[in-house]
Amino acid sequence: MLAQTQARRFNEQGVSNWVPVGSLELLRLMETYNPLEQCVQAFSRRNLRNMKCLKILFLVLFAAALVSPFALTSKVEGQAATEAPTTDLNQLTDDLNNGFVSPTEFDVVKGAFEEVDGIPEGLGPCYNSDACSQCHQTPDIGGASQISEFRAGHIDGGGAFVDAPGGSLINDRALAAAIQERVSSADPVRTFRITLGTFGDGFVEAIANSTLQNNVAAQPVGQRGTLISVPVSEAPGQNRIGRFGWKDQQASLLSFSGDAYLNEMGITNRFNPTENTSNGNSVAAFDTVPDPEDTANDIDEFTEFMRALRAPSRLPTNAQIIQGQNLFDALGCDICHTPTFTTAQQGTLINGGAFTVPAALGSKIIHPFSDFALHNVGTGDGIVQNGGQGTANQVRTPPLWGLRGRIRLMHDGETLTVNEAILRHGGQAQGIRNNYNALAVADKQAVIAFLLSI
Amino acid sequence: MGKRLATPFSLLVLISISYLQFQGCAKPAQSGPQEQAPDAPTSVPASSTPAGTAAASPAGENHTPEPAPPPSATAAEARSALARVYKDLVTLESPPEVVVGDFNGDGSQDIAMAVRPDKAKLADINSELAGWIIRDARTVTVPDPAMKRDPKSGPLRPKIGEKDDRLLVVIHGYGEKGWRDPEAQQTFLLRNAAGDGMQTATRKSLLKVEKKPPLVGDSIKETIGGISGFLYYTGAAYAWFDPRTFKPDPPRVNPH
Repeated sequence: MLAQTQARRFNEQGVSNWVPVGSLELLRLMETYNPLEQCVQAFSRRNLRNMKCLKILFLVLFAAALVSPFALTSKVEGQAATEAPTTDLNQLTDDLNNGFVSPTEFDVVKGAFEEVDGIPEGLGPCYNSDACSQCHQTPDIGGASQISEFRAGHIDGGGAFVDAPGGSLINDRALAAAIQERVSSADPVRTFRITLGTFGDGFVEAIANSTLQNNVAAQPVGQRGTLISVPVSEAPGQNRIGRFGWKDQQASLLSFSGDAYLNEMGITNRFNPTENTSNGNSVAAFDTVPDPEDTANDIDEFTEFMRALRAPSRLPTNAQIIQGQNLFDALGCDICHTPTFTTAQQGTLINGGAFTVPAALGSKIIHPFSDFALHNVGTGDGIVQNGGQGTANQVRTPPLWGLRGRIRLMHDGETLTVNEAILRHGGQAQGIRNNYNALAVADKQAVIAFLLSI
Repeated sequence: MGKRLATPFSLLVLISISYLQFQGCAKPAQSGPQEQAPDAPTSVPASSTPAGTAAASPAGENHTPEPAPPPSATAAEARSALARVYKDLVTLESPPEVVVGDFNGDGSQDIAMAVRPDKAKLADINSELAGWIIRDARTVTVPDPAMKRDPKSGPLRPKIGEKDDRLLVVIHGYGEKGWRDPEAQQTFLLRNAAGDGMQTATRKSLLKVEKKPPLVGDSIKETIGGISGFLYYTGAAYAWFDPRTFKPDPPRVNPH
């Protein structure tokens, strides 16, 4: 099914394919009409009138060949951006599919996302959950939840963060008590990472690197974010600006799917074929399925599902919400919580050339309220993944879209109100938090009303 | 005649083919524009942070030499820092009980002081939109790997009441000036945290102590209800640590 989908999608590239194809078709046209033969025949009949017609035809064709690539290219670049489709964040309504896949196919990939895996499918031996939707479930499938993952490590003699044995991720579940991962007093750097929602992530994936870089470059030095370049699993040797995960550790949804399938569910796959350990110790004795365990390439379906998810909708505005939005901008919150991005145009090659932005995701205006960059806002978390030691205490600006569907806030989920979440901001956001703190109660209420409307 | 016919036509065809080949070379083999590759294969230089902050991991060990003890705060300085955020809602305990240290481990000096709330202004103190984070140090826990805590259970944000005569205010420092900086306004208002004999215990000194929680910064050593323990920052709030409740991490299990 997947192969068919990809083929169909390739054919749906439309305009972007016209540039080279148009020129080739010109050649085919010339071959079909066989003008050389016609000319010879014409001259053999000494029909000068026909010859003139042919000359004109050739000139027109030649001119068309010269002009067509530019005309078609400008058509691509001239695509008008439109607002991305949104979901109402209500599980009772059926409005998740953004058109990336057909409704029938969406049901299939959604089913894969909700499918519970067991030992025969390769679950574990160490894992956090047995289905994607166990963590990404509220307020609709693909969203977030109260479930956190736990990470730990320590600082070595040189001041560098070192993962706990077997990796900083400490899985909370195991197929046997003997391999339950534990945290040791030797690893005092500890943090929770609350689950992130995936609504609109297909659009986020379709934001061009340069768009993110230009946005960060325009930020004041004191608030400027850090963008990191991370490997793309499906394009070996290729890097891209990371944008997914609390540490920006993934750049593509397929890379993320492969990562999560192994690290959260313990299911090895074509990008991550080696089973995790239990605190650095082999779990081979508890692993009954040969690697890679994802023989059906479920990760492709997870990816399709996430790419097909609409962005969170915004509530209708009112005077208070508009006031709050104005204050949000005036305070400087919008420096890092960037309100708007436009995705790359349809046909753009992203993910190291492994994915072409389709019509459903291209030239879409989204409002994530995030710059997808790492910042030090004084909350830690002390863990280093693939951003280097300098990012130990930086976390990605969490997108604020869909905030009204969450209760646990900040990277560790330890904050339960929007007001306190703002108060926890320090570091690069110190001055902006103080701006908020100086507001009158009614103004604070307006800011919060706005935040809970996006 | 055939020669005259072939020459202009061949030229046109040759030019056309050459042009098409040029177009073919100029465009990528695959359709559509190519996303610009990241400028650098590794991380973009980290953004600047305020001087004196974030030099050390909040959750990590401080490997720089033990800094000289920070200058102690005068009562006037403490009152000034207090008024910066709390206005007249709380007053400094008399005689003043003030300690300073890097409690949140960000490299900037913080201040903690015992205060008394103005009982006539409890509504303002307890406001949901107040500019401080209210916690009860006895109910704050370190991140629990069991993750079984119901977020709606427990008085995570207690109300300061009539019986709360003595509270602790912690103001996090900012930059080189620490808590003296006018920008230093991140603050906690804590119940069950202002004990007797408050003194700063540096993180480095506590690393040698066996019974301790994961520490991100300096702690406040004190006695509350006759029990000697210390107050420490969890990364999200301040918690009371009673050494009698200490449970060592279970040993790692090696299945082989």
